[in-house]
Amino acid sequence: MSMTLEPKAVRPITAASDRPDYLNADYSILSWLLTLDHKRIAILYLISISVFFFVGGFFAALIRLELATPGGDLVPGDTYNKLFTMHGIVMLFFFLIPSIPATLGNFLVPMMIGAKDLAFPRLNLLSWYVYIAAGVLAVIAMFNGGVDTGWTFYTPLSTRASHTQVFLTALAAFVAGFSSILTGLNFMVTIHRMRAPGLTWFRLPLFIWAMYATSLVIMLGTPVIAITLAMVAVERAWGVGIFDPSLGGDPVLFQHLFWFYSHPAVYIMILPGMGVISELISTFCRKVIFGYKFIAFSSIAIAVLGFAVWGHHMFVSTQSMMTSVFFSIVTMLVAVPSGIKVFNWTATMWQSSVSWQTPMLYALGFIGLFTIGGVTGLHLGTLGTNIALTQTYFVVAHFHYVMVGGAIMAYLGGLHFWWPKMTGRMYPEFWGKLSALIVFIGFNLTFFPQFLLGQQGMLRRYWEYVPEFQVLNVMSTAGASILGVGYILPLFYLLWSLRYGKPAGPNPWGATGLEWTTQSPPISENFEKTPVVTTEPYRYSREEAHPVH
Amino acid sequence: MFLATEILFFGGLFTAYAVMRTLNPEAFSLASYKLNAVLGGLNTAILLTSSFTMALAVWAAQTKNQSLLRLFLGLTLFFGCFFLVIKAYEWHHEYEVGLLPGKNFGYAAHGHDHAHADDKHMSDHAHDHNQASSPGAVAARQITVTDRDGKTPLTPDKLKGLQMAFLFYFMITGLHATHMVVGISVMGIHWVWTFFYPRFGVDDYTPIEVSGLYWHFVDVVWIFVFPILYLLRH
Amino acid sequence: MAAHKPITPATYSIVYVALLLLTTLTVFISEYVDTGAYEIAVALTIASIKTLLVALIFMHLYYSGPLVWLSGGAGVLFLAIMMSLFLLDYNTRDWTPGRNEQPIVTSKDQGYLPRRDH
Repeated sequence: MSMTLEPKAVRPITAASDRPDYLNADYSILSWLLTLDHKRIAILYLISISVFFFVGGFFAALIRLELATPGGDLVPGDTYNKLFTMHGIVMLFFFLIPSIPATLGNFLVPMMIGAKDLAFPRLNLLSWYVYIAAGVLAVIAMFNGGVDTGWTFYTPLSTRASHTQVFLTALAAFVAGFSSILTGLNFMVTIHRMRAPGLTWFRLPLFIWAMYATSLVIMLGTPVIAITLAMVAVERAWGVGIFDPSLGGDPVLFQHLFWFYSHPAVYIMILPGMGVISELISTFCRKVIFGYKFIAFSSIAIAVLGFAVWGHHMFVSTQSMMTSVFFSIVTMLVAVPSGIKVFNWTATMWQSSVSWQTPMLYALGFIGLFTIGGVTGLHLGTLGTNIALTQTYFVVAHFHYVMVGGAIMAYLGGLHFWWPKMTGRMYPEFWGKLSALIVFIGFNLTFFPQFLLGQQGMLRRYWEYVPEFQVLNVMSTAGASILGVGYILPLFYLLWSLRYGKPAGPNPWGATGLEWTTQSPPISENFEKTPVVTTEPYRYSREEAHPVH
Repeated sequence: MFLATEILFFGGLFTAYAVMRTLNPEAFSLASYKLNAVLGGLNTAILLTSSFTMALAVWAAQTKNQSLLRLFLGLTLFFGCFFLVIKAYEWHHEYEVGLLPGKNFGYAAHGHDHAHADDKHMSDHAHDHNQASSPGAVAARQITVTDRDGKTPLTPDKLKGLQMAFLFYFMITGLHATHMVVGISVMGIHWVWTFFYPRFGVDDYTPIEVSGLYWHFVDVVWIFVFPILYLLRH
Repeated sequence: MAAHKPITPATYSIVYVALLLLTTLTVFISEYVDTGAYEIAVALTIASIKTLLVALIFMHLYYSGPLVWLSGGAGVLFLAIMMSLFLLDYNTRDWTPGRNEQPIVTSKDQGYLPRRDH
C-alpha cells in the first residue's frame, strides 16, 4: 500500500471490528508480563518510566522547597546532598535515557518501517526486566540511605569518603545500562534488516534516523560507564586505589572515563527528541520537512562528534591545557549540526499552514527552549567563561533547558501525538493545550532565574546561600510548583481519555507515515499485509485542508 | 554489533591501564617481568588452538557433519578449560608470593608476616592491653617481593606502583576469564545438545557461528592482553 | 548470518600455524631482542596482525557484508578516540603556554624595551 496522503480517504487495513487490537488480544496479567509484542513492551516501559518520573520529581520538589529560603532549614546538608543526587540518578538513568527510545521508539520503530516487530522480541522483553531489576536496586539503595555523591560519582568521595549506598546505586546504574544496550542493539538490527520493500534509507522518517543515531551512541558509550562503575565498585569493595592518589591512582582518570559515556548520554536523551520534533513539525505544518538529508546526517554527526567533547565537563579538573583547548574547539563544532536542525525546522514552518494543536505547542516550545539551552552551552564551552560559570547555577539552568525544555517537551509532544495511535483515543485538546502552556510558563519561571543566579555566582549543590539570591530562588521555586502542575495534569487527563476520550480513527492528524495507515490501536502484527513504499516521506500537498478528527 | 560493545567495555579497562602505565612506567615494567611469559605464551597457544578448533567446528556445522562438530566443539571446550586451569595456577602462584592486591600485597602468603583477619584483632588487643610493651612487635613486616635482581626487597613506594599494576593484571585477566567461563558454559550447553538433538547445529549453524564469533573475540582480547601484560618488561 | 562458501580446514590450518609462529616471534623478541623505546609498538603491531588474521579468517570478516565491517570498525574507531584523547591529556600535563619561550626582560641600557634575545 503506497503512502498517499488523503487522510479522510485512508481506510484502516482491517476494519476495526475484524480482529482484536494489541490491547484487546489478551487481558491476563501474564500476557502482559510475558509479552513479546513491542507495543505492549512500550506500554510497560511507559508505565515504569512515569513512576520514576514522579519519584525524581518528588526529589526535585524537596530541593526547590529547601532552596526557597537562604538558610538550611528544611533538611540537613547531608540529606540535601542525597536529594540532588537521587534526583539526578533517577531522572537521568531511569527516566530520560529510556524515555523516548523505550516507549515511543519501541512502539513506533517497527511500525514506521513496516515490520511486524523488532528484530529480537525476546531481547526486548528482557531489556524491560533488566530495567525493572535496576530500578528495584535503586529503590533499595534509596530506602537504605541513598547516595550523596552527586549523580556524577566523583572520586575520591564516591570511592573513599562517602558512607552511603554507592556500591548499590552504581550497580543499579550498571544494570540499567544493559537494558539500554539491549534496546539499542535491537533498534540497529531492526532498522538495518527489517525495512519494508521500497523503504530505502532516504525514505525513512526522520524519527528512525534519530533512533538509529541514538542506538549508535548507546552501543558505543554505555559499556564504558559500565566498566567505570565496576572499577568504582572494585575500589570501594576491596580498598584498592585506581582513582586514589595516595595509592598511585588518579581521580581525573575517573572523570575522563565517566564523562566519556555521560556526555554522549545526553545525546542519547536529546536525539530521539529531535526525531520526534521533525515528525511533529512536518505534520502540523502540512509540509515536507526542509532539508531532509541535512537533518538525517546531522543526527549521525551529533552522535559521532558527541564522543569527542566530553572534556568540556572537565575544564577545571587539572586536565592539560592542550586537552582543554581541543575539547573546547570540538564542542563548538558539535553545536553546528544542532543548529542545522533548528534552522531546518524553522524553514519548514515558513509559509506553511500551521495548526496549533497540543503536540505542535510542545514542538514550538522545544525549538525555543532547546535553542536557549544550546546557546548557553556555548557560553560554557568557551574556556574563559567556563572558569567563571562552572559549578554555578548557570550550568544547572543550561542542562535543564536542554533536557527538560528540550527532551521532556519533545517526549510530551510525541506522547500526545501518538497517543491516539497507541490507545485509540483522543486526549482532550483543551486540557492538552492548557498543560502545554502551564509547562512552558512554569519551566521558564523555574529555570530562567537560575541563569541569572549562576551568573551572579550562586553555586550548585549547596543547600544554603547568601540572602541576596533569595528573590530569584523564590521565583524559581514558584515556577517549579507551576511546572509540577503542568506535569501532573497530563497524568490525569491522559488516564481519563483511556475510558472517556473520543475514539480516534487511524489517522486523526492527517499525517504521513506507515504507522498512520493502520487502525488505532493497531493489531498485534501491526500490518495485515506488508506495505510497499514507493514515495518519499512527508508528502503533504500545499492545498491540504485542516485535518478533521 | 554486540562485539562492538565488548570492544568498548574491555577498551575502557585498557585505556585506564594505558593511563596508569603512563603514570607508573617502571612499576608496570617490573610487573611484566614478574609474570611468567612462558606460561603466558603457552596459554596463548592453547587459546589460539581452541580458536582453531572452534573455526573447524563452524566448518563442520556448515558442511552438516554433526559428528565432527561434536568433536571440534568438545576440543574447543577442552582447550578452553585447560587455559583456565593454567590461569588459576598462575593466580595461585601470584597469591603465594604476595602479589595479590590487598593488605597482604608484598608479603608472601605463608611467611610469618602474612596478615590474617584474626591477626589484626589480636594485635589490636595486644596494643590495648600492653601499652608499654614493644610496639615494634606488630610493626615492620618484611616485604618479600623483590626487585629485578631477585634479592633486594622493594621499597614501599615501588610497592605501591606494583600493586596498581597487579590490580590491573587481575582485573583484566579476571574480566577475560569471566568471559571465557560464559563462553564455555554456552558452548558446553551446545555440545550437550548435539547429543540429544541429532540435528542441532547442522540444520541451522547460526548458534554455532555466533558462539564462534564470541569465542574468537575472547581470543582476540587475549592476543592483546598477553603482550601488553606479560611482554613489556624493559 | 551471511551465507558464503565455507572456508576450508586447509585455510584455517595455515592461519593457525601462522598465529603460532607470530606468538613465538613476539615472545622471542621480548626476551632476546632489545627494541628499546619501540617495545610497545613492536608488540602491538604483532598483536594487531594476529588479530587481523583471527578476525578476517576465523571470524569470517573477509567474507562479510559492509555492515559487519562497519560495526567492528566503529568499535575500534571509538576506542581509538577514547585512548588517544586520554593519553593526550596525561602526556601534555606539563605543557603550559610560553614554556618554550625565553623570558621577557628589560634593562635600563636597552631603554627598557622588552627583549627576548639576551
